[in-house]
Amino acid sequence: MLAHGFRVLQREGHSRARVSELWTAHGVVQTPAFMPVGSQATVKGLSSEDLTGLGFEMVLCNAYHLYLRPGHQLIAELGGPRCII
Amino acid sequence: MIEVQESLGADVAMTLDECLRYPAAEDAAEAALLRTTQWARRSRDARRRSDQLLFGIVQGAHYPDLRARAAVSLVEIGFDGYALGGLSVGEDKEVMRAALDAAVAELPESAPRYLMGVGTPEDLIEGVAHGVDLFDCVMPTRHGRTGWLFTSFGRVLIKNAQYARDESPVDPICSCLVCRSYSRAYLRHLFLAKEMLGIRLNTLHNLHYFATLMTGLRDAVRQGRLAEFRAQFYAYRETCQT
Repeated sequence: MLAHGFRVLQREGHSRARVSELWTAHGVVQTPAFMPVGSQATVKGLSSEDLTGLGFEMVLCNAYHLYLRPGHQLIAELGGPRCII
Repeated sequence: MIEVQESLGADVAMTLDECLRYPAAEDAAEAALLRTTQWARRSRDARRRSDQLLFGIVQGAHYPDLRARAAVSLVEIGFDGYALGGLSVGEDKEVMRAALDAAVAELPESAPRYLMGVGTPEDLIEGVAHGVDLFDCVMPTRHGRTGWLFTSFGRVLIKNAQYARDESPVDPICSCLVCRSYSRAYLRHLFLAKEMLGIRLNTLHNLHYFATLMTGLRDAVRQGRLAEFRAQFYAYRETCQT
């Protein structure tokens, strides 16, 4: 497992902007980053290969939706969706 | 709630927050931020997994002093990252920026900042300039499903009759597979015929636009030319209006 946390790599002198890396248990996300929304553990209409191909490193899921269906215990048994939220 | 997110195995878990509608009264906003902060503390205490990041959520509606207070309280509790919730809910851009700045000023430089549910391409540019590291929004995907396409010269509603015989790509300077292979006329036909492929291609194009924007922003920050990037973004929109 990777060490997780946040590393600021570079700051912009003229603003508050910075370029950083967010280290998670499953990989590194280059930031500033935009997360596509996949509430039900799917970005509607796209595969995970599509998302990787587009260059996204993290998506947002909705824990409440997944708790209702298919259920967090089931997902835990299957190994988890690797999502934020 | 934390247990659910730990079972799900999310890489980043969020605390529970109370998000108010705009415009929220100051006393209601204060009550919501106190409740959110209490939930944040309980969430932090309920943590079992050490391989998961936990972000606290700053509330406080559009009141800069409440945002600052909420941020200070969360930093005292201590999180791996800090999210800004309940912004971009209908307030003016200037109002949102003031609330955002007030919170960011109290957050540590060493932790990620996540502006939840934001936003438009313009919001992403401003957010990055104001120190935001993460964003999420349904806009590129939902707009794709309703036929709105993002381009370097603004938004296009693909069902419009003007595109019926338009053989050009959605955005002439876009390098996505949709713009390389399909015409506006074909995308319009797919949309009007309610074909599945239309939704898929629109979503791919819009997400490519957002991914490219973020790559451009990261490069601009690295090169210290964010102001120039922003000026070019707006200049292109004005000169290329169709």
